[in-house]
Amino acid sequence: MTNRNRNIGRRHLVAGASACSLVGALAGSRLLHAQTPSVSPTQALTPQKPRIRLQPFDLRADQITDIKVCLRPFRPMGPRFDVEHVGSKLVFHNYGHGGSGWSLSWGSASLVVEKVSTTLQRKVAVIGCGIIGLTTALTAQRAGFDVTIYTKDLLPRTRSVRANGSWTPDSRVSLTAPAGPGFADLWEKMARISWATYRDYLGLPGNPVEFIEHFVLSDRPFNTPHEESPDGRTGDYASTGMPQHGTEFARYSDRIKDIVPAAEELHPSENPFAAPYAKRNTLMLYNFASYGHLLMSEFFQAGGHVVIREFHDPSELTSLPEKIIINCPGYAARDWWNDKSLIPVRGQTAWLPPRPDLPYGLHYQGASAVSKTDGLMVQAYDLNNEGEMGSVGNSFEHPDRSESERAIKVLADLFARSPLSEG
Amino acid sequence: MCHGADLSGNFQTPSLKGRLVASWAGTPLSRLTGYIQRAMPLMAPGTLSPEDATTLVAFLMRENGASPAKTALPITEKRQASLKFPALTIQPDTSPSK
Ligand SMILES: Cc1cc2nc3c(=O)[nH]c(=O)nc-3n(C[C@H](O)[C@H](O)[C@H](O)COP(=O)(O)OP(=O)(O)OC[C@H]3O[C@@H](n4cnc5c(N)ncnc54)[C@H](O)[C@@H]3O)c2cc1C
Repeated sequence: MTNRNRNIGRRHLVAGASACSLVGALAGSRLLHAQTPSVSPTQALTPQKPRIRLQPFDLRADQITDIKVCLRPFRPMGPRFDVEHVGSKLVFHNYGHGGSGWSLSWGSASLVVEKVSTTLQRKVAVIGCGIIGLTTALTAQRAGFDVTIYTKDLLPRTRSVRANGSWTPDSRVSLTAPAGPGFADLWEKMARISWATYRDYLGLPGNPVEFIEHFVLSDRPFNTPHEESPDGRTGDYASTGMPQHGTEFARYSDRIKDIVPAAEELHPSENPFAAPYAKRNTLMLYNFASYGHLLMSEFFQAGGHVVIREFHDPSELTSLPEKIIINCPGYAARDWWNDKSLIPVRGQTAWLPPRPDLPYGLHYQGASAVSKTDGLMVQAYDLNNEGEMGSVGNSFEHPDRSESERAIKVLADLFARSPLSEG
Repeated sequence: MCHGADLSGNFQTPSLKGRLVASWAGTPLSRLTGYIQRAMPLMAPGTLSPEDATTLVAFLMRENGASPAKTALPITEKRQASLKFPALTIQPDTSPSK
């Protein structure tokens, strides 16, 4: 599908097609009546707008083509960036990016490669070819290094492609207290470098990286504080060694408000969904198939080498010809580097046939659907209202079909109730 | 069982045959036992005893075609460190039903 076709498709969701505005206004008033949302003062002041036109997704469990499960490599103190000696080798760590690895990859790679550059070596080994290893390898090439990736598997078989793959730079990337203010500064630097690097991949054939329209829907006003279901947990990370409450997780997004498009709250008249509160933003997405192929081709075109190899013990690194090693094994650092600071955070996505003609996404009641070029992705990100604590410590890396079916049902029911499915 | 009854895994879970041999051939058995103990099963790592992990190593070697030894594998890390995971070669299939 070309960019041009996608742009035509996108018109389906542009607000205000005149022929439908009457139907829209009627359905909108029915919606208002049915849900009786309290209209915020800003909504009361803004003029009525025609309802946004949107074609619904066909969400049915019998359309599932794949269910992918992955473990977020979460470290309470943030990703690991220290340097270690192993025999005569110098190992630079770059792992543990939690739910933010795709988003922070380029910035993280850039910080590490800056450090590696001070060694004055020309050859570097990168361990791992997930999104962190691959972007690190490319960044090292761009800095003039001759790079060999040593990895058990290439990108399409890594945990990275079992993620969601959108711009979520502070999604369970650290806990505020153990990470400290130093990491907040580092995070901002990484987020800004990544964001800027992604601009270079926009508007390309196959849409490796793109922006889509995204709706966040709620049954309650957005300014009411999120309340997690009580779970009887007491204490915190400092007292128990595990996070115990969602509020312990760091949020840094406000630091980059100046470059990330803000969400706007929709006036009830323009809200096409049967949820009384709606926000719209633009969301940056990584389309795994086209973006992955592009990155791998770039790596080979720049003369990169790949060696398929599994390491079992850090001492095995001494057999590599390179003196400088960048270690990017993601969650596997728990096993291969014996790093027990990594906490698994399970996540699952279900994939339905692609709908590139409907490039939008939505979040509602802990379920999300996002239209990517490689599939319509449905994620049960928080069906039980556990907030950030959901799936923390869960390392069950096998599909749970019922979870995906629940998420599909939440959104299918929403579409069935929504005025956008009428007329 | 995560890796499947025939140990062939699936797209997400690694096979315990074939590539396992390529990954571990020549590696001290103590390292494979240690890895299994540290990392497996993925949802409850660290729950297997050295005896259980050693039994699994012996099982993996047998399933990948190693001929059975006369004596059982030693349990101690030190003794396993001197034994290596064998490089196994595929034998031509001589069964009449091929
Ligand atoms: C459900 C879910 C949704 C997510 N959504 C998002 C999102 O929307 N946005 C976002 O930014 N992030 C998201 N994440 C987080 C993101 O996926 C991770 O932070 C990221 O994939 C980590 O990448 P990595 O390269 O460090 O690890 P991996 O992808 O695990 O790669 C590790 C690499 O190391 C290799 N390796 C491992 N062990 C060895 C060994 N012993 N010897 C040799 N090679 C080895 C592997 O083969 C692989 O190539 C999500 C995660 C999940 C689970």
